Amino acid sequence: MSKPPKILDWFLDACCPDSRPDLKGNFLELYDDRLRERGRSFANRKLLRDTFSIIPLKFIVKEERHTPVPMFKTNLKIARRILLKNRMYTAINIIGLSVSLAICVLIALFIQDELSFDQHFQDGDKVYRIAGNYSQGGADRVTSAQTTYLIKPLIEKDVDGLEAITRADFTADLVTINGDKQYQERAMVFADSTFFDVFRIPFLKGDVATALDRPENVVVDRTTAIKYFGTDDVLGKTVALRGKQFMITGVFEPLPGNTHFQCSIVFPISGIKQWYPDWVLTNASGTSLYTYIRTKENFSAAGFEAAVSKQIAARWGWEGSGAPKYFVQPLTSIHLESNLQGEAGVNGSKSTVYIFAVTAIVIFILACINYINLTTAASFQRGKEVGIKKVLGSTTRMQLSQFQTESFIVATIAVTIAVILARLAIPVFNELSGKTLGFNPFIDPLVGIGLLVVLILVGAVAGISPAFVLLRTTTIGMLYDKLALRSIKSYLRSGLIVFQFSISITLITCTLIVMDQISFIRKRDLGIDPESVVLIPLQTPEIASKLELIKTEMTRVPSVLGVSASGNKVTERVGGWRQYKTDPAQKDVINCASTAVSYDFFETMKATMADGRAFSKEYSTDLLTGYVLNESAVKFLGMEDPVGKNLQGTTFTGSEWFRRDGQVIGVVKDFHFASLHDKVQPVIFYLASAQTESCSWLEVRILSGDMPKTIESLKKVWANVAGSRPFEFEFMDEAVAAHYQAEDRFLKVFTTFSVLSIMLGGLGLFGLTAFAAKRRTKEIGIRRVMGASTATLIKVLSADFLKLVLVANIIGWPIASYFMNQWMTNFAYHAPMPVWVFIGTGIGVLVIAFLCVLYHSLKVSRTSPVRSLRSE
Amino acid sequence: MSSRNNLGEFEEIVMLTIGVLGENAYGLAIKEHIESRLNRVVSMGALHTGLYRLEEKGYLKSKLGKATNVRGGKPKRFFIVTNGGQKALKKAMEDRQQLWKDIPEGVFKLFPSQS
Repeated sequence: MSKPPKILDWFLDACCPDSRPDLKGNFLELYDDRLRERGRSFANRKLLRDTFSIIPLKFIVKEERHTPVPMFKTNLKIARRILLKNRMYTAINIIGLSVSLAICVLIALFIQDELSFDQHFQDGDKVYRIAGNYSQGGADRVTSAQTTYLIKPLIEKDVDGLEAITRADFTADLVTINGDKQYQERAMVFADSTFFDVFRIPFLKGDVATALDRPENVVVDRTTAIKYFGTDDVLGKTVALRGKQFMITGVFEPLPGNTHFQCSIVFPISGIKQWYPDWVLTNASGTSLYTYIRTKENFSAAGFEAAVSKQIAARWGWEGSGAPKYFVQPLTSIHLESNLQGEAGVNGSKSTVYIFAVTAIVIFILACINYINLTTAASFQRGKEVGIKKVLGSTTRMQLSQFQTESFIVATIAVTIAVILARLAIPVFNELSGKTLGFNPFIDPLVGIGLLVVLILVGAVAGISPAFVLLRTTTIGMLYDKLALRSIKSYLRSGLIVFQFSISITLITCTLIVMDQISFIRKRDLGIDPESVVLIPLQTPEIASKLELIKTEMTRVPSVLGVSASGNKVTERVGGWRQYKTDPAQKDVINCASTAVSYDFFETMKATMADGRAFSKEYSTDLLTGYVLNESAVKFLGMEDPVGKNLQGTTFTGSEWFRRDGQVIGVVKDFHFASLHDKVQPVIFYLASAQTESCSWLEVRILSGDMPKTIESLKKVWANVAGSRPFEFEFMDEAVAAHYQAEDRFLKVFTTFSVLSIMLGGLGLFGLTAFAAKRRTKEIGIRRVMGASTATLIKVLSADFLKLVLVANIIGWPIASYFMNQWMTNFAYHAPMPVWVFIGTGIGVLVIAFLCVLYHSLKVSRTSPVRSLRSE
Repeated sequence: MSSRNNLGEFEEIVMLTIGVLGENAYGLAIKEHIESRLNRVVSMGALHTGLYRLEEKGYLKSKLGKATNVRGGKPKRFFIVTNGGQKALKKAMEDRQQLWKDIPEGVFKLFPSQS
């Protein structure tokens, strides 16, 4: 009896109605006859043609459809028995699935929140922020989110396409209620009367159209109204700011947290304008506040930007490379896409969202792989069950529904636990991400539906996979347990294990490299000593003018070692650019970042002089002519042996320019103003005087012991000088650390994920060895009888898995090193890529994998061979 | 419509062949018998469609035989003509004879003397 070719046989099967086995028999008999009489190719050809002729039968013969409903109870019963029988495997599956699902839920909430920023404004798609690209004297242009006070009058009337335009100055200040109660208001806005035309925030009280029309009006949100007066019925009440009275003319709904700025009290700019320094009101290239516009239909960003440039050329006579270039940013894109200087708050970033999304998917895939691997492995023990059912006449569908029932039960339990876990973990997650997320799967439709989809996916799809392996085997084979022997080498399973461990290894390697780099940066010598230094902002020009007094008073505090001041916060990049000539005959000026400092600045900061000396009161000329350069500036200006050389420069008070012909009196060793993401900037220092900008930051070096007491003393000094202004301060080492906040967060998140991934991998491996060991009980028994030692047996059982982990290493390393090379470009100073990390991860993961395998290997190899060989 | 009760020409032949073959009337045997005896080609599709249709109409009855090692382990399905089927065959035959009888003398020149 010869058989037709496989493909024809398959085609024939596909065309024959299932309920007519005799039909196929006829075909095969005919095939056999033809083969004998006319040869194979004739028989094949005829068979193909005949098969075509029975296709209509498929539609004529009515198949008996089997309804699975009556089996449901049986399925459940068997599922319960099976799940309870393999308790360990059920637990591993549920733990793996639920933990990874909980993580996915948290990430989904995070992403949802990130994407929801500024989406809540009515008609918000027509709102844009104007940002500018300015030439501030440096080699590079500066792109800032802020604009000048003058941009509104410039374009308001003469540029088309605008429905409303408003300036907004997000600030913080002290508000006085009833003459005695004071509140430090952090979400204060100075804005034009058109603010609520641009941002359509619903009003609870008062008239939106006229609320900010008069200079003595003010608008608050409900929360603030209740904070001030205990009620939201506050129209007509007064609020004092810097001694001036404002009358509340409106109460609005508080803005949700997913807004890129904060706003709880809005003062009209017309009412506070007198407090702005002159340069804010007159400097056309200044960056002092934000400008938002609401546009009409058919707004063209390019057309608008061109029109603004044209206005600048026409009205301010400013053209070419020096002129500011303004551009617009859609309101809804600001939070995720804009990362300019002077942003109103800490923005998110698209890459973070992508990284999170990818991680969530990867973690979910890892859990699913575990699930599929374990379920498939477990199903090999069920060959007999499936075989007997088949013999008793159950159809493929019935068998599938059995496996799916089990999957659904596991998935339902896992989803339930995941929801509980997510709810428990939310406070911790909020702390980590700096958000205020809440989670209720019944109210939150997106996540709720997502979980439902997962449930169906896991239940239906993952449940089918083991069934396919089983159902493809012949009944006889299954009953003889041949399946187990055949399945030892499952390429799919090996592939999945390799994939899983590659991901774990990549994640762990990345985490270790990030850790290494961050500690490298932390340990790197900044050139100055940030420990035990308090930074105090001199909040207003009045306070800054009393600098000498504050310095003297503070120096008197016993635990204070030194006090100095600077125009620039020492932990931030220097932003002031001034023009210099090293030789009066030189034609072109050189722009260099510059900052004013007080006497004792270098001493207080513990910076080292490389050459010459620091500023000193003993040299009266220092005040108006002395310059100190850092080493980078010396290189930048191209000076050789600079001490004593002339340097012609300029200074700017904020409103007036001065020429400053002086000498270089010293060179200070390079130290880091900003983070180590950037190279040390060339900086020129001069003493603060009437001809320079004033100092705006105090640096106080204190004794490291008893900080609270010292701070208390400093606060007293401050209160004497600054009056009601609250005392604000930060520690310099914390300000330095803040530069690496993003990396810290990254690190925390990735540590969590890599621990989780290796945990999932380990759990999976643990489960798989359990089954492998069970399946090979007899083999192990025979080996023991033949005299194998426990060590040999462990080797036999673990070698298969450990080989896979080794392969995973080889895949994981290059991926990790690629990503980390990319990431390192964020830093100007890199730690060398540590080789030990790769090898360490490799060995570490191998050890973990080995430990997971060890337990069951030991257990099996210790079983008496009598027991394992006795059965059957 | 009328085909519900009346037999088609091919159906008639199939049923008659089943009668001829007696106890050994299964799919392939029927096909081969028609092909050799009547010298016409019968496709597998047409034959089986016909068989299953007739069974549905109640003119045929079938019974699965024993599975053997030949035919790929598949059983044979043996057909017999039911009483209804026999009546239908008879009626078909009678209808035709009636019509033959009714043909007037001399119309069928080739067969001048029917009946």
